[in-house]
Amino acid sequence: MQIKVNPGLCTGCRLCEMECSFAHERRFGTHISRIRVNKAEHTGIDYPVLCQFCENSPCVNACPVGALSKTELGTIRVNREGCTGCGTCVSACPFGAMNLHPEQGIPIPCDLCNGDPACVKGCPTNALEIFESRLLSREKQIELMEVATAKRDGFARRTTRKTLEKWGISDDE
Amino acid sequence: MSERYYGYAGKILRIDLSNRKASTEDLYMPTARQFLGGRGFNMKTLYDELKPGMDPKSEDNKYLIGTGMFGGTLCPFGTRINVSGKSPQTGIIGDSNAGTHFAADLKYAGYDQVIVEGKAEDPVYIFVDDDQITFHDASHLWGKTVRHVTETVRKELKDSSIQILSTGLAADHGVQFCGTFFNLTRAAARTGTGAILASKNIKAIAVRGTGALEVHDPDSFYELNRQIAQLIRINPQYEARATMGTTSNVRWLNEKGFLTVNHFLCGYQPTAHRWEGETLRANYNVKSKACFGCSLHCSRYATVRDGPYQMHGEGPEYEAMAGFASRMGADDPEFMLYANRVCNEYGMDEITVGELISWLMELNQRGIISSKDVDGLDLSWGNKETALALMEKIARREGIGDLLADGVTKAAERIGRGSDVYAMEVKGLEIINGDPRGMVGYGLTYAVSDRGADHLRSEPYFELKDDPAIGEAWFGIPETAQRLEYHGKGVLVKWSGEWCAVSDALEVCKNTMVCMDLIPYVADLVNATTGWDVTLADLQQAGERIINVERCFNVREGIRRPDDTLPSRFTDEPMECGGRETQGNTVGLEYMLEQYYLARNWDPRTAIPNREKLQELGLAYMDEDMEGYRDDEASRKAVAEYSSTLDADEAGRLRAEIQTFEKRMREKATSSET
Repeated sequence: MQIKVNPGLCTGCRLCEMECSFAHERRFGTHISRIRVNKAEHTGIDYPVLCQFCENSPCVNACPVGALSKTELGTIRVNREGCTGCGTCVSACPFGAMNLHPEQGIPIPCDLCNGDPACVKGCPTNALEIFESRLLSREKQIELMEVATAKRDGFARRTTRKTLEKWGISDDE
Repeated sequence: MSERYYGYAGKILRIDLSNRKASTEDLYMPTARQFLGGRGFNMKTLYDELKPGMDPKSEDNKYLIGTGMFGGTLCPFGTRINVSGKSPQTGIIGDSNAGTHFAADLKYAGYDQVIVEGKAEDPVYIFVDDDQITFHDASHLWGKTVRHVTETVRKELKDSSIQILSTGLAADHGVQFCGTFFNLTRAAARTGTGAILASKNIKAIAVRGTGALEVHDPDSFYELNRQIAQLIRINPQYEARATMGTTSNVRWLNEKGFLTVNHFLCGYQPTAHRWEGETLRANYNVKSKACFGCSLHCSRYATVRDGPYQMHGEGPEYEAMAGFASRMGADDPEFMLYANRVCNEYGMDEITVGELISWLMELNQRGIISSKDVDGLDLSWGNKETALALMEKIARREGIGDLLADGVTKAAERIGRGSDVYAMEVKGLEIINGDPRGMVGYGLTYAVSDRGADHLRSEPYFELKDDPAIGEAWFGIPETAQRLEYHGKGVLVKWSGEWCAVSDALEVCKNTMVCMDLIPYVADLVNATTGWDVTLADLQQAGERIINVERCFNVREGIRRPDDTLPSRFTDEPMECGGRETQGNTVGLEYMLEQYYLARNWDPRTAIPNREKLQELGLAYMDEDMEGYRDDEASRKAVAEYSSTLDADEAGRLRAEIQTFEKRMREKATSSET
């Protein structure tokens, strides 16, 4: 299970951050949220960033005391007792998706709310979407199939032009 | 922290620029309950801390930032912000509101209100980093645009997510109608708050807050907000608001015949479809943008990809864009988007700029001035290059720009030749792009608003419903829901003024709370947030209290009944709109004013709040102050000028009506809570 972002739909309202902080702590704060919206006002882009659920997680590998591990859901589990709050995982995450809790000092990676993410439910424009596996939606699969077919057509036509000329057939109709 | 705060962050931050010191005070809860927050806190501070008659450009003025109790939570309409001070443009209440992310961070940092006082010796920007307040040199940012300042400060503080408030280059050149700009394009534009910042040598204030906010009853709070978000979603206005925001106004204002065309000379523009919201949506908008926590996302990001006016940026809103379109006789959407962008970068109030440009064009048409008076610029209606050139000159106070840079009232004094008759302003603040001859209740609003001509102090949106049955059902007065009728408009403007004050004090969005009829839910939301037990009537009274404080502030600055007025165009010249509904209408202001003062319990001769009213609102100390003004020279002059337009019978009838109205409102307030 992962969360996919559609930047064209995100309005930058940060309700996902509010839903996340409320779901975990029944309080509101952007710095206690596991998802953070990156806002570039000059270009208009708002892009929510959260754990990318890497296969071979740099944060887990980097943790010097082995306090991080992967769950079956694909999220990062933090061993609160083992964690020393050193912040190595923050530096190791290539996406800036790992942050330390400002009061507790331990990392707060996305836990997908144990399978029912509050941010996705709370997003008013469906800019956040759950997808269960790497398998894309049927619509998206067909869309990509069509893209590939069109590209194969073009490629084949370009490379077989000489052969057609030899046969005296025109491909113009 | 001694006390646990719900909704509120709990502290007021006071920054003393002269000594480069910062201190905090705990929020005093009885005051919070009386004034709610945001604009309420700011207005009380202005009244209590500014000496009457002080020079707004001096270091004795204060720059106030106020947030609301819902700010920084998932309340879908509640993270707006008010910035206030004594206006250097008008000399009275200076106050402006914006939808931003700044308020959320300020509250996470621990502050409900910021009071900036004194003056820095050299240009500075201030960084509020939780409880660390630091001052940074800003001399390299002086004279720079909003974008440059915002991006440079973020770079220097090494965090692109820091929230920034700044001024553009116009403020540094001494332009008086400069706004406060939040993260590039979110402007608290009106009344020259940016000019206050510049007079204190502040270029920007940055904030980063890492704390979190609690509410008293998290479950009810969450559930109520979900309900409110749902009500917004199913509101008939949702689709238009979500995709066009305020730009959807153009089409219907034009159809009804009270769009602002050629500086209010006309109410209809045949080519308005070229720049209306629907056209922007189809051709220029690339996506929706939202204020913090808002599910309505009524703002838009627009791009112009080719031609002379290439741009990309957030906005514009209706008021900003009409100034660069019909008001100045133009209809080019690409120019309008571009001019809006430039005006934002320079950091000026677009309503004022739009007024100055179109006013000059009218003066030119009337032969009062000609191009040689304005550095050789061609003042024909709709001349886009002239508009851009004027904007450049104003922003830098160059040539004719120097004469214009204090607003239209001062410009008319300087030009003379009867040009003041055509200056569209009230109390020194320029009028928005809505002709009151098409909505007379708005006319009353412009006249009585305590920050000068303005619709947002008392959005009497109700009259635009154009359905007498709704007027009867709500207020017992059918005409309240009819935009060209007068009866009941005094009480309507009082009522909506109070709810607009509550909106600004809770820092809630009026487009949703007032215009989408969500007022009945607000008391429950306040109680779930704070653990109080307030009713809608209590909240409305807080709004009334705020309006009375503002009036008392202005009375000290010399404002009396004769200042509650409109330009004669609206009261005397019949509307010309090619035979549409509004054709031939004027605003019968005097009768509405009589209703209004009666409903307010203000002295109709001076417009000073009566003792009984101030005592009822718990403002006895202000009443004592007012005693010194009730018979001063300004008041005696106002009394001498006054002649009532009401006979005794009519006054009695109105009084009875106001009582019925208030009783009905009280009943409504109790019934909606059960």
